[in-house]
Order: sequence, then C-alpha cells, then structure tokens
Amino acid sequence: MAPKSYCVNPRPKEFWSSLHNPAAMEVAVSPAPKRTLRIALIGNPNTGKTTIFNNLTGLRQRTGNYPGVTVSRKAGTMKLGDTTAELLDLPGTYSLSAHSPDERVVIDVLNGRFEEIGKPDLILFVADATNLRRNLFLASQVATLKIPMVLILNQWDSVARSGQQIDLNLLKGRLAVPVIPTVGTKGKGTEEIKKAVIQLMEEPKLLPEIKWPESMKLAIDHLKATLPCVGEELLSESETHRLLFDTHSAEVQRLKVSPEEAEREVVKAREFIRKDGMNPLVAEAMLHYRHIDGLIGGIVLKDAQLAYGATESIDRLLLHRGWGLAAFVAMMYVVFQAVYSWAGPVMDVIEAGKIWAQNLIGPALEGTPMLKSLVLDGVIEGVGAFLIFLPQILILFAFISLLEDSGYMARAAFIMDKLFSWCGLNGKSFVPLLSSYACAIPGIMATRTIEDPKARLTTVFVAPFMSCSARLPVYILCIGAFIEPVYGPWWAGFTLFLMHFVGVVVAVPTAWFVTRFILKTRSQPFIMELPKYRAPRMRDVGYRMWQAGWEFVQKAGTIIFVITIIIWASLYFPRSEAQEIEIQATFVADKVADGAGSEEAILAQLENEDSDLAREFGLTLAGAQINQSYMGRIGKAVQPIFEPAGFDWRISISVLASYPAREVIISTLGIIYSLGGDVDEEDGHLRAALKNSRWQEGERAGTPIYTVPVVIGLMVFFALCSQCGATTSIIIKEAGIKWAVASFLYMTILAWIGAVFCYQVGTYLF
Amino acid sequence: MANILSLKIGESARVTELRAENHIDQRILSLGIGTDVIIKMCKIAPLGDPIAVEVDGAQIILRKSEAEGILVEPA
Ligand SMILES: Nc1nc2c(ncn2[C@@H]2O[C@H](COP(=O)(O)OP(=O)(O)OP(=O)(O)O)[C@@H](O)[C@H]2O)c(=O)[nH]1
Ligand SMILES: [Mg+2]
Repeated sequence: MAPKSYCVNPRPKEFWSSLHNPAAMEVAVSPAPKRTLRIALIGNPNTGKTTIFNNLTGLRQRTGNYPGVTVSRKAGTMKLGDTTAELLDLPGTYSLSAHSPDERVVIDVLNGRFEEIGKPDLILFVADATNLRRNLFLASQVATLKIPMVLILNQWDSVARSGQQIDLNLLKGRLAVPVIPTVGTKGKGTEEIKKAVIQLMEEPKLLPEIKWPESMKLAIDHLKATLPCVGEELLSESETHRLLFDTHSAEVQRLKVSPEEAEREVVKAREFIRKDGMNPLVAEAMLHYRHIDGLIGGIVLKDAQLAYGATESIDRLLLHRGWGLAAFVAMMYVVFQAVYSWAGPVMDVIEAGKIWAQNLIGPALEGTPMLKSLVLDGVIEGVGAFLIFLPQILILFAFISLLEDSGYMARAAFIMDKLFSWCGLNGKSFVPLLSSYACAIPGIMATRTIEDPKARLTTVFVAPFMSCSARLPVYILCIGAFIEPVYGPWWAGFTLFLMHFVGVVVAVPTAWFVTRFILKTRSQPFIMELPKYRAPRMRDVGYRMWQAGWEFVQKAGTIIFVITIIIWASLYFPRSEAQEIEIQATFVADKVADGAGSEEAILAQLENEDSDLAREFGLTLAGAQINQSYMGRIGKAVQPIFEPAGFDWRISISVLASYPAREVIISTLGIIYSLGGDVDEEDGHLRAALKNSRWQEGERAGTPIYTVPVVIGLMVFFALCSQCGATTSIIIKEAGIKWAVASFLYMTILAWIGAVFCYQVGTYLF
Repeated sequence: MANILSLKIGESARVTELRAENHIDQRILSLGIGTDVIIKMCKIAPLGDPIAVEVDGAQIILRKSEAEGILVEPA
C-alpha cells in the first residue's frame, strides 16, 4: 500500500509484528531470488533529475525550467550491460526535513516506507554543478543513510559558460564516490553514469559522512536510547536526526511513545547541544555546511562571474517596476490572440475533411437511413465538431511549454505573489494555478509543492476556476460566430483574453473567503529559487504539443465518441412511421389553411423531392422529430431552470450533457443542429447553424436565440462551472470527498448566477 | 543591526544572524543562506514584494517579512 503522499505513513503494525512471526521469518531467510537493483534519483529541485531519468530510461517524463515540475515518484527501467535496474525519479528537495507533500515522498522512499519499492540500493545524486555548496548540503544529509552514491554534476555546460572553473580531479579524490560531469539536455555523460553504477555494484562507496561533535553524539545517543520505534527496531541514524533537529518532525508518529513523551526526550537531548553553545535548530545545517566546506574547499578555482549574466539583463526589463507588469499582461494577451487567430487555416482544413468524409460515406449508406444518420449526424458531426479545435490546443501548449522551459513561469510567480498574498495564497500557488490553464488535473497535482496544508487546500479549491484548454472550443465557437462578425477580429481576440480572467476574478475573492473564514490560514512564507533563463529546447516544446494533441485526439476517439453516440440516440429516438404521418398531416393542413393550394396539389409537390415545399417539409419533419425525441423532452423539462439565462432547450440540454467533460457541448450542439437539419450542407459550419437558430414558439418566436448577452452568459457559464469528471475525482484524491462536493456545488451555482447576470444585465443594457 | 532589506539593489553583505521563526530559519538555511555567507540583494518585484537575493550563485525569492529576519553587516 502506498502511503498518502502528504502525510507520513508509518509501517503498518503487521509489518513490524511479522518480524517476530516465525512463518514470516522463514520467508525472509529462504534464499531470496536476486531482485533487480533499485536506484533513486535524488537532488535539489530543477537540477535536471528528470532529464537524466529520461536519458537513462528512454522514457519521456515532463521536465521544465522551474523548481517543482516532478511532484510524485515515477519508475522506469534502465539497461545496465546485460542486466537491468529499476530507476526512480523523485521530486526535488533542499533538505531531508520535509516541509511539503512532494518532499515527503523523497524521505519516504529513502527510508523504505513504500513497501512495494523498498529502500534504494543506490543513489544517483544529481547536483547543479554551478551551485555545488548548496547542492551538497542535501548530499551530506543523505550520506547519513549509508547508501552507495554516484555524484552527478549536471549542467556542466553552464559551468564553463558562466566563467566558473572546477577542479574535478581534486573533487574526485576528496569525495571517494564516482563523480560524473553531465549535460542532461545533450545526453552527455549517460554512458559514464551507467559504468559508474556497474562499478559501484561491485565495490560500494559512500560519500564521506559528517563527523558530529561530542555534544551532538550525546544528544543522538540519548534519543536512540530513550525513544524506541514501534516494534523493537531502533531508530535509524537519519530518523534520529530528524527528530532531534526539526520542529514538529513527522517521525514522531513512528514511535512507540506518546508525542508528548517524545517531545520531552527531544528537549532533553537538545539540552546537550545548547550547553555546547549551539542553537539546536540550526546547528545541523551549520555543521553540514562546515563539513561540505571542508570537502570542497579549493575545488572552485574560479567563481562564476556571469552566473546570472544574461538572465540579469532580461530580468531588468521583464521584472522592471513599470515595464514588468506591462510585459506580463502583454505576453498573456499575445498568447490568447495567437491562439485565436493563428488556428484559422488549419481549422478550415479539418472542417473540409469532415465534410469530405460525410460526402464520401453518405451515398454508401443511402439504403439504411438510421445507420446513415448515426454515422453522418452522430459520429462524424459530433467527433468532427470537436476535432476542429485541435490547432488551438497545439498553439496553447506550445506557448505554455515556452513559458515554462524558458524560466518565465517562475518570474510570473515572483510578480504575482503580492496579489496572491492578499488572499492568503502565495507565489507557490501561482505555478499550480497557471498549470491549470492547460488542465486542472496536473495543476491540482502540482499543489503538492505547497508546504502549508491549508494553503494547499485553498489552491486545490480555486484551481478548477482557471480556464483550462477544454473551455477553449466553447469560447472559440461563440466568439467566432457572434463576436468577430459584429465587432471584428481585434475584439474577438480581446474577448478570448478576457474570458481567461473571468475565473481569476472569481477565484481571488473565493480564496480570500476560504483562507479567512473557513480554514483560517495564517499567511504563508514564500521561499523559492529563481531559475536562470534557458533557451527552450524545440524538441521538448514539440513533444509537449504532440502529447497534448494526442491526448486530445484520443479523447475524440473515446469519451467524445461514446457520448456522441448516446446523445445521437437520445435525439433520434423514439421515431415511428405513425409519427411521421401525423407530422405530415399537420404540415399539409397548415399549408392548406395558409391558402397554398389544395390538399392534393400539396401532396403532389411533396412527392417531388427537389421542390421547395418538399425541402421545407424535410426541415419541419426533422425539427418536429427532434422536439419529440427523448432528449428533446428532457431539454424542455429542464429548460425552465436556464430560462433566466436566456438558454433555449437545446442549449440547456447541451449544458447538461457536458457535465462529464465540458468539450461535449460542441459535439452535442453539432448533433442537435445536424439532426434538426439546420446545418447547411454546403457550408457545414456549426457556426452558421447557431447564427440562424431562432425561437420557434412563445413571445420571442422568430427572434434569434443567440444574442450577444446569451452568448456571453453561455461562455461565463462554461468558465465557472465544474464540468469535468476527471477534475472532481482528482480533488477527491488530493483533498477528500467533502472538498470535491463543495467545489462541485459552489462552481455550478456560481456558473448559473454568472450566466443569469450576464443575460439579464446585457439584455437590459442593449 | 541591519537586515538585508537595508541593502540597495546590487549591494552585498555578510549574514550575521538568522532571526525568523525556527522552521523558516531551517528552510532558509537549507537554501544556503547561513551566517558568514555573502548575500547580494538582486531584485524587487514590480509590486514591491517579494525580493530576490543571490547566494552562492543562485537567486532565491523571499517575502520581505521573511527577509527581515536575516541580519547582515557590511562585507
Ligand atoms: N543548460 C543545461 N540545462 C539543463 C541540463 N539538464 C537539464 N537542463 C534543463 O534544466 C531544467 C530542469 O530539468 P528537469 O529535468 O525538469 O529538472 P528536475 O531536477 O527533474 O526538476 P524538478 O522535477 O522540478 O525537481 C529543464 O529546463 C532542462 O531542460 C544541462 O545539463 N544543462
Ligand atoms: Mg523532475
């Protein structure tokens, strides 16, 4: 069983008692099959662990130029000569005193708390070569675990570039373990790492361990003697350190004694250190740094003169008092303008492909009207309407990837922190929230880097308000059909830009309210490393686009495909000949009453399929049939709920159908209008169908359904509503069912209020 | 005694003492900011808070409220 990643999980009682259970002992003693070597990647955040993991395993885990990209453990297999080893990629951490859930994962792995993986046999320690001293602090802490280690000096290219010089041979001599300079992004050093691992398997080597002063040893021994762990096993060296040096160490939960008693012993132990003239809470770090300074003294021959050289010049503009904010807003604006306007030509191609497919397949299915309708109006229309938005997704992800890989994302957090702190969040919430613009699911996962559980919950709660890429199709459809033709392309792009802020405008006061009145969070510290700018690798950007695009296409083939068929069926049935005859009778009677001719003459005209009257009847028939379908009836039943927002039954039903996944609205509208005969065969645009759509009855009969206030209301509804089954389940996983329910209800109610507000105010003003 | 907020942008100083709450001190220490380390004031966010300081060639973002606890003397 994997521990919940954000709380410490002591080994279950059975595990410890099994040590004394004869049957279990037998298993342990019987010759164990030679299991694969377990290797863990450890290091500070953003040093290139995942890049090296990918090089060694051939996998493609996400990398990015900000601390905290990897937030959970990921396993892969690496080839070592003729054997294999299991490699574990882990989140980055600065020390072993875990502050946040992602750091907790590292500690749990190192202490073998996850039963299915056990303690690693070997550590690949990835250090940023340009900042050895700080990076080796963690290495020195890890050395107390006595696990063989390879020291990888990654970003070796930056060392030379910044004018730094490191005496590699001297370092190798001092550290005893293999030291390997690498350039992860170029794959340099990958083979050397493998060789070192093979060597180390034969002859294990440890990093020189810190030598504690006498007082420290006394303190450590005191704890070991007085605090037995659950079962009879003694506390390990490293666990004892955590108890002794950390405030509120989670290790307390593993002890046999009560937390109060443990606290008493810890205070007694710290007394030894205090008497020696040191502050027990900072002594550990001081001593580790002294140890490291001893190890690397004289190694750095020449300091970095230009460590932040280029970065400083760029930041002088991008983080400038006035220009910085302007640049931030401008950059976001460019992103959305590009997403809106660059996709056009590709969309047209996909659209043409859809119509081509319909024309190709249509004639072949002429004999079976129901199947023809399923394929043309259901599958091709529904899936096609969705796929048209692929180019926008690709463009959006290209930008997100560029922002992340260049290092600007961390700057955005730096700029926005002040605003976030006002509502109880901090800059660390910014990265998860910004990730939620792509998709709330990785965004919510990314909250694991937030130390304070309450700030983390608040961030989880507001993350789904960020306008994810699944909302994009709705915005583009509405803007393309109703804003651009009236107000022009400039306003179209601007509206899209504004739509992405609707969520923020709601999220900020929401977060304020939650932190202030529900969770009563204290204001949080914000401590984060600011990475250097890097030129993004086009390969990474391309891969990110490909991945997002592929996921989108897969969705079209799975969830959208299935829902499309369900929706088509519920809009097609029930349907009978009797029903058709009745509709025809009403149609003919109406025409006769209008004085369009005698009953016989009209019937004769209907026989001729090309006559205007026959075409008109076709539309009337389709409209009447869809009105009487199951979905039509449900739509009419729920329409009163959305009446105050100006939605007709078709919009109402599309909104409801979109609860499992919001993109479904596009397919649903596509099918409704295609089945209802509203989509012009020539042009096939769903847009045109929406524009022509009019109220059929009631006092508004004949007027367009989609007025600007309705369209804005519809977009706002989608901006605010919780229409994503996957997000709800990830909230259950990360925050619990209570928060998931609260989030669902809150978002749905807000969405309704937002749509009604836009419609009512809009209609009043226009 | 002065804290790092008294430094102008581009100025460096030597850290003499950490005086924040204990767990914040631990965090700051693990990032390499400890006594006797040379620290440089680098950036102030456009809205006035937080700031970024440079230690050992790495820049670290801190809120002013945390930075206040880092006392310095001229290097
Ligand atoms: N210049 C240079 N950049 C590198 C090198 N290795 C990795 N990078 C870049 O450094 C950034 C961070 O790489 P990741 O592999 O995501 O780092 P990580 O250690 O997994 O980071 P976290 O998961 O956030 O802890 C990415 O932008 C990489 O492209 C290298 O050797 N040289
Ligand atoms: Mg990583």
